[in-house]
Order: sequence, then structure tokens, then C-alpha cells
Amino acid sequence: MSQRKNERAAWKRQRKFDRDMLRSAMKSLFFGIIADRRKRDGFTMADLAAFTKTDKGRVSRWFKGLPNWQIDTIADIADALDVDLIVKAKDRKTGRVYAEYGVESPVRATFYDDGATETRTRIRASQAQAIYQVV
Amino acid sequence: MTEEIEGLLNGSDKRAGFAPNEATGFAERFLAGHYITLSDEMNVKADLEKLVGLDEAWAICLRKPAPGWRLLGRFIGEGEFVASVAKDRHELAGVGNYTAIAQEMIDEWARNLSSVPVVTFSNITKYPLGIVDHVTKKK
Repeated sequence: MSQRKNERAAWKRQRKFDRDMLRSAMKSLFFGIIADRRKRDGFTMADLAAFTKTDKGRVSRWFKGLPNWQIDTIADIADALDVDLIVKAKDRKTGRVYAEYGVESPVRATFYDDGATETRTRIRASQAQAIYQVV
Repeated sequence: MTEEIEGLLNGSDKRAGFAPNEATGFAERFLAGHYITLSDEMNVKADLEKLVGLDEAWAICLRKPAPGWRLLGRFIGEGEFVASVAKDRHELAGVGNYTAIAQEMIDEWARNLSSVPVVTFSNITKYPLGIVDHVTKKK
């Protein structure tokens, strides 16, 4: 096999691996929430079916194998479980974290007129205003 | 893991029906604490099975491509699995044979890994870390 074919085969393997890991992470996330709710409130898969207005068979298929959920399905499950999803991405090389509102800044120091210094993390930077959260 | 299993996982040891990508994918998900299914009864399909009637013998069930492979081993800590024997599911045909090969794994452990303590928990969900689904319980 030529080097190019080898590289393509390796790329395809990596792509499948990355896809499977993300599918697995999503399934694991939701199953973990459901298992916790089951312990605390007796939440069942039937409840999930009822909240998402679908049948139990479909819900069962959602959690079989490594599901390739559509974004809408993810949103529906999150809604049924009454959770907000936090969407972030980390650059594999630099470690820089991106959020839905842009680059998440590293910890920064802010100096005030009275001489006080506070270390804060920027959590949102829309065009006009910045909201800061004290670390 | 043993050199044999390492060779199978990294693809340097090619055997019929063993899919290294599926196996390493499972291993990565297991290590990441992702969802896995657990069973402690026979004939209940799960990713990880505690073998009946044996002293702390476990099998990682790699079911794709069918009939799959089994990695037999033991837990030496919470979330720490040592795989010492790999078998094609064909070789494990029949409960008696499965048990005999698992017993071989235990005997080999006694010979070569006797200094490695094996953990025991009363609840099988305590063995792996992360999200586990005890499928036997649901039957």
C-alpha cells in the first residue's frame, strides 16, 4: 500500500474514533443524568419518552450502541431533563477554549483606581459590554 | 495487559475477527468513564461481564465483528482492569469451555501475578469508574 493510502486509512480510523468518542460522551452524559434522576426522583425512560412526546421504543433505540443523534434530538433530551448544555471546544494544540460567545480568556487581572486588584475570568464578551465573574 | 493483548490492540498482531479499532475504542471509552453495560449473569449481553462461579474473573466483551473476542482478566482497583487472556469467541464456545478458560486465567494469575492484589466489591457497579448500566438488575 502506498504511503498516501496508509495516511488516508489512518485518517479514516482517527475520524471514526473521534466520532465514536463524541457519540459515546453524549450518550454517557445523558445516561448519567437519567441514572441520577432515577435515584433521586424515580425518573424512568418512560418519563423521558413522555417528556419528549415519543414512544418508549424510540427512546430505547436512542441509547443503544453509539447513537448518531441529531442536534434536535440532543436539544429535546436536554429539554426533557431540564438541563442546559454548555458548549465549549478546546484547541488540541494550544489548549485555548472556545465558547459560543467567542474565545474564553485565560485568567486576567483587573486593576482598580483604589489600588485593589482582583483576578477575574472573562465569561462573556458581546460587542458592547463585558460581563465579568469573580473567580 | 499482556504483550499478546497489546499486540492485538495496536494491530501488530493480526488475528481473524479481532478489530483493533473497536477494541481500542472500547478501552478509551472505559478509561474516560463513559457509559458501559455490566452483567453478573450468563446469557445477558453486556460490555463487561463478571463470570459466574469464578473468583473475580471478568470478561470484556468485544462483540463486533461477530462473534467477537473476549478479554479475560481481573480488577486490581476501582477502574483498573488487567486483561491477561484474549480469546476468540469461537474458542469459548459452550459454557463449560468458557469457564475452563477463565479458570486458566485465574491459575495463570496465581502463577505470574500473585503479588498483584485483586479487588472485591459486593456491588458490581463499583468496579468500573464512570457511568455504568447494570443490565442484569433490569431483567
